[in-house]
Amino acid sequence: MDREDLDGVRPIVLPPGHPLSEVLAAATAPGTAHELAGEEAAVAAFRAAAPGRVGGGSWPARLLTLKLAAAALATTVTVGGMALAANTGALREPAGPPAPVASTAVVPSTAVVPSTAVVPSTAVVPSTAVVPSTAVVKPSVTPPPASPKPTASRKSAAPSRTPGCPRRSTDVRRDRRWDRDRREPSCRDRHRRERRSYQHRPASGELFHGERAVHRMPSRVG
Amino acid sequence: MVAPEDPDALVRAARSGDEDAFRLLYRRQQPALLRYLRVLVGDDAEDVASEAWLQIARDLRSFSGDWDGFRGWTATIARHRAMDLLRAQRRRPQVSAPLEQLDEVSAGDDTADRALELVTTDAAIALIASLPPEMAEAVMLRVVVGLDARRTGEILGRRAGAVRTAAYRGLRQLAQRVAARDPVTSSPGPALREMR
Repeated sequence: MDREDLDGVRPIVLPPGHPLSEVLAAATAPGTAHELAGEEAAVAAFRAAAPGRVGGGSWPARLLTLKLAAAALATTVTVGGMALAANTGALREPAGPPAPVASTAVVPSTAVVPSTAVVPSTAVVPSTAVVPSTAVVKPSVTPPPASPKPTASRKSAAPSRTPGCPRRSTDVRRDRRWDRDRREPSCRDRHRRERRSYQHRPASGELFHGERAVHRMPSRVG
Repeated sequence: MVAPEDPDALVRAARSGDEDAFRLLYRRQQPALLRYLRVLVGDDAEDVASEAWLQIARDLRSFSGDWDGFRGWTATIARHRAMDLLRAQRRRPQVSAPLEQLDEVSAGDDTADRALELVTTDAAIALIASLPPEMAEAVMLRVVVGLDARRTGEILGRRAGAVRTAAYRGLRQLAQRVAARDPVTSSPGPALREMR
């Protein structure tokens, strides 16, 4: 039995009949079928690792493939989700932050301009149209995103003064709806101011709070 | 087709993607790896060998070396997978074994004696596995896997001289056990002394 010696230089020959020769011969015997049972799995793994095969190749290529797949998936989910939301009407709320309330309150005249452009600032128009109430002014400053309230459709139909609130009519059924809608805070405040303006009409030269604000605006002053 | 008797050519062909060459390399090296793993992890050797061959098949194209290098490389991979398994087993909660099983485990010498009654491959590996771990591993890598002392030392993280000493002592203990079983052949022969 030839063996290299432990330095890897000399072959070592165990003489026949040596106590270890039989043991070492058995330990180095050719493989049995049971020991080689995993051959096909190993060959399959070798085949699968061949370059150019799906799932094979070097790890940078596989990493790039994974990145591309992840990007494609993210795009599909985003676009598809937006399309689905648009179809189902889930996009009725504005996607950005709420409408800038402060700016509409500071510039009440811009809210009034479309409907009261020809009216002087000491208006015959009820002061409520000029009062910087954010709830009333806001819809005319910002093009209203579709509101989920049922008054949204009527708002566009109402031509002049109250884009957010219904008008009283003689129809009993519509009055019921009006009573329900005036419970909305914006409409309630507006109707309260309407009542006050009918009770107290200002004398000439007396300015309301909102009108002073309008007069302070540079454009109106100039 | 690469000649199967030229292992260096087999390694070169397998590195370039030759499936038949890889198959022949497997048949040459798998028995030695599996027996080495039996010494390390016992009954889990086949599972660990499968994991090792998956890695070998995946990384062979990036391997550079001849047949001797291939044997050392595959033994290193197999040993790493075995260490992974042993570390995982140490992390698991230990199951309390019944006393009968403990008696069986402690009867190492009896197991070795039974192995000598019928010297098959499994019995020879069991006999080597009954050595202290450093000696058993050195004997397996040197004798069964067929590595030289330097390469064995690289795998075990030891100097070649330490590997040489461990292998010699392991073989001497094996010879003493065999001699104790068979008084006709007495002390280790001169060939074993040459191996030192």
